[in-house]
Amino acid sequence: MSSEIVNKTSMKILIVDDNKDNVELVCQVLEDEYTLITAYSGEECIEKALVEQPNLILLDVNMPQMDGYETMQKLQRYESTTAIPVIFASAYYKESSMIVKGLEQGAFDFLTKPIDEDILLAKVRVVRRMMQAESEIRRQKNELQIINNKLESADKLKSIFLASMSHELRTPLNSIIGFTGLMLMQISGEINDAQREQLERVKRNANHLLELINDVLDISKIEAGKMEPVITEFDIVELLRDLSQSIAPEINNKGLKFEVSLPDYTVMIRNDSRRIRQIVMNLLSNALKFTTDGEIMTTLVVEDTQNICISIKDTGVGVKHDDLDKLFEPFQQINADFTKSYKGTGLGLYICKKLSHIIGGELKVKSLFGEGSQFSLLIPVSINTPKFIEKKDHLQDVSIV
Amino acid sequence: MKKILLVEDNEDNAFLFRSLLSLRDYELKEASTGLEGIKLAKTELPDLILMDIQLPDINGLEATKQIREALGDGVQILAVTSYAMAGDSEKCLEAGCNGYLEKPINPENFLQEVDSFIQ
Repeated sequence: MSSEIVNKTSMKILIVDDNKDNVELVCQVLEDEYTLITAYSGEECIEKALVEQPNLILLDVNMPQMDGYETMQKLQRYESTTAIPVIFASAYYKESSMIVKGLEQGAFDFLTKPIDEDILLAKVRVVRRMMQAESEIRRQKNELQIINNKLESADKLKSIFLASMSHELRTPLNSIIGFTGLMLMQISGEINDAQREQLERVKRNANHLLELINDVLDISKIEAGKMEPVITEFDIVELLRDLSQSIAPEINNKGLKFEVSLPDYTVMIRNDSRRIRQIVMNLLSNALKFTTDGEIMTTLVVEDTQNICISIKDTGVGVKHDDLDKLFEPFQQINADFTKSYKGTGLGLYICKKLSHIIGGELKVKSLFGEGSQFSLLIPVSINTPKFIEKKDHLQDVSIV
Repeated sequence: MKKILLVEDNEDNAFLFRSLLSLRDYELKEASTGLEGIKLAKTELPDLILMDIQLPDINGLEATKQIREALGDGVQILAVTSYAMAGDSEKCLEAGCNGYLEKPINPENFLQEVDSFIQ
């Protein structure tokens, strides 16, 4: 169907019958409401259909030379006529198999001769309504396409903006962090304790700014669905031992006990080591940040042949039961006593939760306000995310083509 | 004495790298554009090039390609860049860099990397 909005005059009907009287009759019924074209044979029908592109064809079944069935089959072979609805008209419909044959070949409907005027009008109106609906769908589809194009360009713009923001912020941060580090190295002269303390603060805040940039980039990647796990095989015990060793000095400096309970054998898993490191490091930093006395515990439990569980437990401020849900939402850092705020972007746990899904796992929390919190990261030993499978399928398709 | 060519357009960052590298016994040459970098690479034949990627005339990736074509594998090229989005390090390595350092750099780590690449 090539024409757009179908109104009284723009809906074009091709009437095909070898009997001129029949054509005349149908024309009389329809001419007030529709634009009519006539043809007196199957061949003429095809010619006119190709040239005129009618919206509907009323096709006589029983014609000399090319009958209605054959005519319809030929119409279906041309791209420009294949979708034009055809209503068969014949006196031979007493046999229901004829009707079925016509419908199975793709006819839209059928009419029995002698043609009842009211039924003819009603059936043509059905086609008209259908075409109006199709035209509406087409209009909406175009609108959606336009919106989709706009969204795509907005998304592209966002990516360009983020990349450029990241670059432009890193450049001055390089000088800030670099020169601070250089002064702390005391190359150009000794610094006193007060100056060291001040410089440490500059350094800490600059690093905090860098974390914020990295978090925002991570979130934009996660939300764009562009973050995919990078799978390798590695020993999770070794990874946790490494992480624990790197954070142990900070925990001890704060006067906290640090207990690490890991299996004394290797546990090889296939997953994204970088993301697991990122999640665990974040959980450990949180435990350290929110615990003033007591201890922090890291444990690895091999749950079964499918899953392992890493848990980080602390004796910190804890979280009220009602606030637990908010914990994994962005920018929702919950202050324990509403007077003291903690440093952080408020994005860490949100990112951890999202990352845990990307690596096929789950991050859960249990907490008692004032007693402490326990975060548990359940990870599959071998990741098989839907995304991963999808990608494989896609590749297979390509190779078949 | 080993020779380092620093290609960096931001004067503050160039000053930082100059200060850090002064802690070592390296001869330092500096360029502030991609074309100047290529020219100096050809005339000075440094052992290591520290290559910024965003530069005024031609970018560090293009400069790296041209230097590789002219000098072959003899020179080490280390990208030191603020381009830190996914895929950026791969782009540097594809262009012919031997390594990739993300800005902001950590001063101690920076010197270690420079030392290891120049060996």
